[in-house]
Amino acid sequence: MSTHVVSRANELIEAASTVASPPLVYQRLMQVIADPRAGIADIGRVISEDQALTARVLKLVNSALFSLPWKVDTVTEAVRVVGISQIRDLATATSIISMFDDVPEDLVSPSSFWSHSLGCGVIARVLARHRGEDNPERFLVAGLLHDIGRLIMMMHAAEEIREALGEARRAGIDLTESERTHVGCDHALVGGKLLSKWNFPAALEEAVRYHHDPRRADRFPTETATVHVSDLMASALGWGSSGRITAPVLLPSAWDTLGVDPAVVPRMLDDAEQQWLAVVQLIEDDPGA
Amino acid sequence: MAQIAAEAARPGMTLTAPVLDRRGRLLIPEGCEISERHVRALRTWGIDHIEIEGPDGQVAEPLDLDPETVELATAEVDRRMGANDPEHPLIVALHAHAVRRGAERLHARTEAHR
Amino acid sequence: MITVPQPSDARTDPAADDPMGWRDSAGDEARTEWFERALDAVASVCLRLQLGLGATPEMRSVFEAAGPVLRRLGEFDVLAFLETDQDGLEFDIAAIDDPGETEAIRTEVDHHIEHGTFAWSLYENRSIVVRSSRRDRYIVLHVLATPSRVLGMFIGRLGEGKTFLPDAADKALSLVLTSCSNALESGILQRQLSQHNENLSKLVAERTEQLERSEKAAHAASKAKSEFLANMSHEIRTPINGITGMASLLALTPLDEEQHEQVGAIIRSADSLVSIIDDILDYSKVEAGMIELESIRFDLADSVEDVAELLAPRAAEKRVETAVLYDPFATRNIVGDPGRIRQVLTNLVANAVKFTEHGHVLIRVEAGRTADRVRIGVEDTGIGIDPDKLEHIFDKFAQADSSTTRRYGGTGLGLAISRRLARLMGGELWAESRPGAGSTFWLDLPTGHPVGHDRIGTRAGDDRRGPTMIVMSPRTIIRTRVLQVASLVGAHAEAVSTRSELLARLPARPHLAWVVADVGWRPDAMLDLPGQLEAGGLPPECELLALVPPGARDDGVRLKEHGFHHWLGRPVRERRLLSLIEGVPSHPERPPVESGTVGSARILVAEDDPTSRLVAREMLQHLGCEVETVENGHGVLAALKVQDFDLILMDCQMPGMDGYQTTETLRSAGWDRLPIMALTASAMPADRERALASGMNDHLAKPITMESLKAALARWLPAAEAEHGRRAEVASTPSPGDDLPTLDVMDLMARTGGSVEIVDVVTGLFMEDWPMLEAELRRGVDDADFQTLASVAHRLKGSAANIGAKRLARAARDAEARWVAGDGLQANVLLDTIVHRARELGALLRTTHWEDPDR
Repeated sequence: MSTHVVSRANELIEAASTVASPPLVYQRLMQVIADPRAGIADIGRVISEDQALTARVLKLVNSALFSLPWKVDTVTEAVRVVGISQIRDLATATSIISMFDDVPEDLVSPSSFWSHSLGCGVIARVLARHRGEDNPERFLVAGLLHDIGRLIMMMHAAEEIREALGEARRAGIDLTESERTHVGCDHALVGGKLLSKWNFPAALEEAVRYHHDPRRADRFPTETATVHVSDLMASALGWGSSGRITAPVLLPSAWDTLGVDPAVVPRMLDDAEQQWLAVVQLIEDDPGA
Repeated sequence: MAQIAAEAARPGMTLTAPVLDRRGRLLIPEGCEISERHVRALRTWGIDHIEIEGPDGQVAEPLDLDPETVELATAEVDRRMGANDPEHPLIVALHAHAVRRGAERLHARTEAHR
Repeated sequence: MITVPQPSDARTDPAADDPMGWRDSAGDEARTEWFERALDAVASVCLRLQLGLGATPEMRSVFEAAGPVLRRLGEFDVLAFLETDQDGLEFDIAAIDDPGETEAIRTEVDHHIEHGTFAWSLYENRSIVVRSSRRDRYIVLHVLATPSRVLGMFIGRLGEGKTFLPDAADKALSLVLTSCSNALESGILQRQLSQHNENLSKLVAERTEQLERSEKAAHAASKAKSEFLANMSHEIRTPINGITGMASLLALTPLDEEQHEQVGAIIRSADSLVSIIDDILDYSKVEAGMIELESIRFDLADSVEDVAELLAPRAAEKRVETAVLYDPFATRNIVGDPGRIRQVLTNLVANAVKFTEHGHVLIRVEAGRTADRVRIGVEDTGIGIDPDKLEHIFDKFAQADSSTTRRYGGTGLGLAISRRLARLMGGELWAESRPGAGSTFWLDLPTGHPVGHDRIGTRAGDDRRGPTMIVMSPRTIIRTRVLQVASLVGAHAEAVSTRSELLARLPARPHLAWVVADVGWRPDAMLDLPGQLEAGGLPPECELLALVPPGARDDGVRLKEHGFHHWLGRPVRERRLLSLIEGVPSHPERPPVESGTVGSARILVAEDDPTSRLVAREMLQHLGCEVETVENGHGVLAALKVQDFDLILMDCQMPGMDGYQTTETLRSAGWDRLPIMALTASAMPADRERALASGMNDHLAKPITMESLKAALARWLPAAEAEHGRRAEVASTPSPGDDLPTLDVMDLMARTGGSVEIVDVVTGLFMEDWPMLEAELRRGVDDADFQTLASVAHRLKGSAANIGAKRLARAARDAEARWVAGDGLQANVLLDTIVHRARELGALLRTTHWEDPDR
């Protein structure tokens, strides 16, 4: 990869002042979790400091995402039931969504963008649960953030991305390709750079950075393959759009990495659809959170 | 055939579809008559719905989709699938699912317009 | 033991959400220590779960291994493993660390199933902390699952005041429980594997059992077949008994020559029927694996010559010469079953004789392919066999073609039996043939012992100069045979084919000691030879030996009258020729014989078959006995009440009360000295054993003949012996065996079937053999060669016993016992005793007048 492309990506991230630092809540939660002395109440307290976040986390925990058989009323109980890391990841995800409130609506509808991102995240989470991963919420976050680089572009290279989108639609060129032509780098690279800057876990960064080319994910091939396949699925089902008009092309080896039987796919997608509808509803009901 | 909530399951009912757990593992096979033990197992394993024989023992027709709707949905999914290999098992499964869901959504929308 | 220490302040800090007091800055060191110890404990328990639980870990053993660590990690006051049941639908407690809390835990499980939390936690691969049913405590649920299956559920109740699991403890707990699940799954897989193996071995066992069952069934079928055959043989023998019996009685009446011939034909036909039945019985025994082989050391040359001698007369009727050639390098002493080998050879030689019209039947014994084998070829100059039928002839019921059966008769079982016997003995039997030129049947046998020490050729190496001899015969096989035997004693032997050749050599042989002349089939043509030789310059001390046709004793006598010094019947027996050449006197004088009867014994015959009854009565009366007949055992008992008998002839199978039962009854009723002789139609040895076991004294196989009956009676009627007064003279000096007869005449008669002719032959043969035996014994004593001594004494014992020479047999037995053990003490005394007994016997035989009861 040329230094030009990388520096172009760094440039975009630097320009995005609002995203120069990761969501505060993530940092706080990471601090708390990293401290072995931290108790469950500490985590609850960090979230509870943000009323909107608290409400959103509780809504998520009580949503179809978890299909809890009972209602959880407090963050402490949510942490107890859903798990510390899981709550951290949910809180982070919802915070990130709210960080991008001022995306220009004329390029891509924010609700369509988040729709697609949430769809991808939910599918990734369902796949992870199906495969018995111990923290499926990590996959939810990875799916949610996979196209975050394009948000950065839309905010700080609006003209270039507009040309890229237009060319991709007109000429049927792959959007990622057009991005490189018009913006100077693609959204996956920008997204990876952002997560790296935020000190997010390497698994997240790699999954986002290589979600269009999972062969290059040498440390976290499963996470990357999951996001790659989930992106394809959400696109094929028409669950929102982050700008693409066609689904990305499947890399068969990524599917093989997951070892999932295609026969269970309809059932998983039915599950995912219920959860996706629930969280999309939740975000739309509460756009300012 | 009738789909009922698992809580409504009673001994003596006959399953018209196998009961799978949430990971897809078979719990109770199709055609089995539900026992007390099964009722308890449905709760233990968190099963939401089961399919049982209707009172008349008939099997309900699947949702009747008109060919036009299916055709529309297929065209849309074909477009979305773009350059993907239509032969790949995942793409085949995904395509079929997307067409079904798309057609059902179209159908629901048309019904709503009437 | 792994211990996880609790931070020192854990119990004193009341903060519910800080159970370990980790926010207390003073606890830093303790916390570090807690982590280190916890890590150690987790690592150690995981390792143990992976390695230490044996091949098939179960819930309980896994729980026992992991429980203490889990308890400390989560500060539980009670914890348990739940296990899914057989069909994976329900959960129950498989292991709990405080059995007193079982009900409490069960209540929690039920509550959380009802509440849905249980199901929820089933799909979460982590700890779920929920309130207890009474909402006063916290419960931790953690599924026990691997990616492929749900195995169970961990449930733990947090200690009082504890509301959650610290993240580190949570992760450690997950780690341990995942290890537990993996261990459990490997146990399940192992059990499935071993179940699979077990099923497999069960299947194998079942199949094996099926096989065994069918084998048993087959065995039972084969046994049933044998029994069927035995019964058939009974059914057939009984009427044959009648035929031969009546025919022999008929033969005793005045008949013209043609009628006599016809009666003879009847008897011969019946005899051949019996031999066919014997064949079939024998074959069925081989088939059923009922043949038991003996393993004894014997002289193969003797056996071969016996067979040749036995069948030579039959061949001689067709002027077919029977000869034996024994390769000097072939083993003589072999270990095996002489009876069975003789049976096979008899069959082969009899076949050869049967199918040969001209020429010879030659039995050649050769060294086998390897040193521990020997092979016997039976060569004929008969009709031969087509190559494509060569193997077929060994099939049962097969002969070269069906026309053969019509022409030559026989069951076609002989060769099949022979081959099977040969194989049973570790040998092989096969044939080579050229149609029209003859066949050779080869019997290859193991010698049964390591070789090299028993060849007879050793004597040829003696320093003694052998005599000079000439053998004259137009036939190669006879010239070769004589030269072979002569070489054994180091003779300077040469062979000529014709009389003129012999005469031509005489002038150049001034020291000629022997002339052996084959007189061919026309002994009369040789009557002038002695005179011619004398005229031709035969040295006066030269001995003339005539080789006469088999059984041509009369010719021998006549030749002797015309100047021959000796005669021997063909085929030439090695031992007889050797004893002649080695300067031992030949034929003892034969006394004339007279005849006698068994005597006026009272005999009771119990027999259900009327014909057999009639035959027995007639034969016994003919022998001079008083006879009563009854039809069954009840008749026997009734008859004994009114009259005494000297002997009972008892049929074994009779309706009402059979022979066995009757005998048992008689024996238990006090008739324990009354001789009872079984009459059996079946040739199965088991019947004989059963007869003896029931208390009978002897056994007489049907069909009975005059000879067999006479011999049997002679064995058991003391009156007969007393009446005929043939007790041997008592030896002058008392020595072991003095209480025995020198010659047990009754025994001898029994063994020879009462035939004076046979008595004559066997005693004659014995006395011919004796000088050579004596010479061997003396040599053995001189050389202290106990191996030879033991073997000669053994042979002597056998041949003496064969002619009823009880004293000599005893002396030989005593000597053998010493010599076998290598005991050289009193070897001379033993030898002297043997020689003394032999002379006693010789004297007795010379003075005994044999009478032929049939004439």
